Amino acid sequence: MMRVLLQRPETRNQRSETRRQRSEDRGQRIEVRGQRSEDRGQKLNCFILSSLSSVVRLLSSVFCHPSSVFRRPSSAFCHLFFVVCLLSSVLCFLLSPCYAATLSSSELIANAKQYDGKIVVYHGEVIGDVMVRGSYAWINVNDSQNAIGIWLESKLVKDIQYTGGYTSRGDLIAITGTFHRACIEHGGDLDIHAKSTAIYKKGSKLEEKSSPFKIKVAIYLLIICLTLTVIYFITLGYRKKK
Amino acid sequence: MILKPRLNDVQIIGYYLGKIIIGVGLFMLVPVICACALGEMNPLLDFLIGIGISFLVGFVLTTICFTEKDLNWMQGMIVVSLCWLFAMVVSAIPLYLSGHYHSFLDSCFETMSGFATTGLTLTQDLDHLSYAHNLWRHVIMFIGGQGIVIVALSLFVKGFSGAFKMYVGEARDERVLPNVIHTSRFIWLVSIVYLVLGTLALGITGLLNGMKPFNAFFHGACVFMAAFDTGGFSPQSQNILYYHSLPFEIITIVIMFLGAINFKLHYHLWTGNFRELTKNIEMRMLSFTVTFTFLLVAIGLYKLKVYPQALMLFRKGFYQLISGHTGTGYQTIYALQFNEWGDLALVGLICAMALGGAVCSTTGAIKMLRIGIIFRALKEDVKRIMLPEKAVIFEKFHHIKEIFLEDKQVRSALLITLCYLLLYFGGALMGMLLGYPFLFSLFESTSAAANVGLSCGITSVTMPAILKITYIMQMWIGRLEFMSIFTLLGFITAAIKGK
Repeated sequence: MMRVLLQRPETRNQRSETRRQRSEDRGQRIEVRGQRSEDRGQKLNCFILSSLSSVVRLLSSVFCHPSSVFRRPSSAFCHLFFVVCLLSSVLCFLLSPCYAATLSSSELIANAKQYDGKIVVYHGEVIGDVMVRGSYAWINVNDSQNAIGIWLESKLVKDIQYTGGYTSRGDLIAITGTFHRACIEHGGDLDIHAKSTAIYKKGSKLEEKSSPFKIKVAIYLLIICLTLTVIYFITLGYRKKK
Repeated sequence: MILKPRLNDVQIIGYYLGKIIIGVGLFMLVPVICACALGEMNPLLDFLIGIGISFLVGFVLTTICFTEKDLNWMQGMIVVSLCWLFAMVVSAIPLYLSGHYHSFLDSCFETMSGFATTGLTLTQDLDHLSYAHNLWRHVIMFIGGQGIVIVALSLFVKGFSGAFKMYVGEARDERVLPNVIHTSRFIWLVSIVYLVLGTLALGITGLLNGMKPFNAFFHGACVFMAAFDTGGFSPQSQNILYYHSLPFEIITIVIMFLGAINFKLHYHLWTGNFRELTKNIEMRMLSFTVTFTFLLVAIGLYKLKVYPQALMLFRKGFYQLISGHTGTGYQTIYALQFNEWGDLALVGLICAMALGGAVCSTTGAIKMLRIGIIFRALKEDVKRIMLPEKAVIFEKFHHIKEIFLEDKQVRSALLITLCYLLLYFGGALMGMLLGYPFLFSLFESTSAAANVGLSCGITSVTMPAILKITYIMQMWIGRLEFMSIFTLLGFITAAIKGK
């Protein structure tokens, strides 16, 4: 029922509009690409830190562990090196989980059991209404595949200026929060409880431009229809008289 | 020997077809008013082009085929079956021009889904669709729920004896009132009264949920139209999940249930005869099948531990089940989440979808009266075996009045049930030929043929065109309940082979 795909189609009589749309879309794609490269950067950081941590732990265990064959008991340097290695590996280990994975709505829905209860990063366009319910609120965020409901504190929605609709493109928002496959608090809904949000691009009002071709076709058709209606009623009157 | 249709037949069919197409064009004035009020220029042009083309086709047909003759049974049936196809094409024009559809076939799929009150959708980027186009999707559902011909009958035709033939052709073989025109006007009265009440209830709930006032009432009207006509379109891509509200879900359950009961029963309830609710065979069957299929769904969900709490299981399981049983297709879960439900729960849901609601309602599928008749016939046969040969055995059931069971009724009920089963499995076979798993193919096929609209994810823009056409055919045939389609096929065969 609720299948929404990425690209908007091109229609023959909307060429100029489509061209404008395309350039906008291209801009967005560049942005999304930028976002993706950022994500990739985050993942790379995470990978480097984890690898570094493993290497440091390995080196320290080989050279400085009391049971190591390379150990020289009299060397204070070795003890210092061991402590530094240990501290850095702990630091690396602690740092790595704070980089939660950025996921698309399709990935989250398809692998809901896998991500249930985990902290995820999800981003997309705020669409429809911001529904404030006391000290919390619901927003729906569409990442151009599906829209997912986000439950967040009311103070976090104050920065949202635009929500997506026919006349506007909504704010693009990144959400870090706990993903729920079947939320106990919300009757089994699939949702994300946001811990933090960040608007990375403000939305805007969309200008509506009509295609001149469409206007011409509409006017011609209306003229033809009015003529036909008049002819129809004249013939009807003539037939009744007969 | 098959007789070739005469030119006179084609003339009469063309004339009434033209009138109905003009009627569909006039209905496009509703989104035109909406577009003017909200200053949506592009949608306004889309609908003016749509109106222009429908008037052009309608006037050409009525002028060329002008006749004062009345319809016979065959012509009435053919007008009905063809007018659904013509209405589909004409109504798809403004939707296609919106740019939210991948191809014209997709927009035709959307309008057939709307007219047949199915609710499967191929709209892209629904969350950015204009109010006028969104309203049109729901108005289509409202017209289709009442019956396209009923609309024409009650609004644009003063009254003629061929009306009943077209009324029957649209799968409504029961008259609430002695006159067909009065019956169709009563159906409209019921629908409009409920529209006002339902929109108010949903709009106020939306407001309390924190929606903007205009959006709350616009969504309220749209959701009511789709729920009462057991359609299933929604203004947002998340369907009912968008609202995150239990009261909203409860109100839609009530509206879906009202849409699934017989208009004759509505008439009796309106005139204060509440006992009919407990005595009517359809209501008894409905309560039995809902309980049985819900048990299947609940056991299936419980065994797989899909929902951690019983209340949660009830809320999600019961909503999807009622939505499927009444033929609405509203969802509070994502299509892909049906993957988690497991085979037993899916089979329970497929059974519910295949059974449907009451006759002379807006639901599709086999329907409760037929199931009730088949069960009574089975009971009669068991009695015949058990009791002495000389015993006089008769079976009767209560449907508005006491009716004795006749072989004719049983034969008709069994034939239609068999046709539906073939239609469900035919679509499933096509799905499997295209590489989809059996259970999911059967789910989607039953959903299309029974005019439900629940989806497990097969229906999408990327599905093969042949499957889109298959589902369009299933929705069309399922909504008209075979007879008028068979008549059209016979007419085409006679035109080719006749002498």
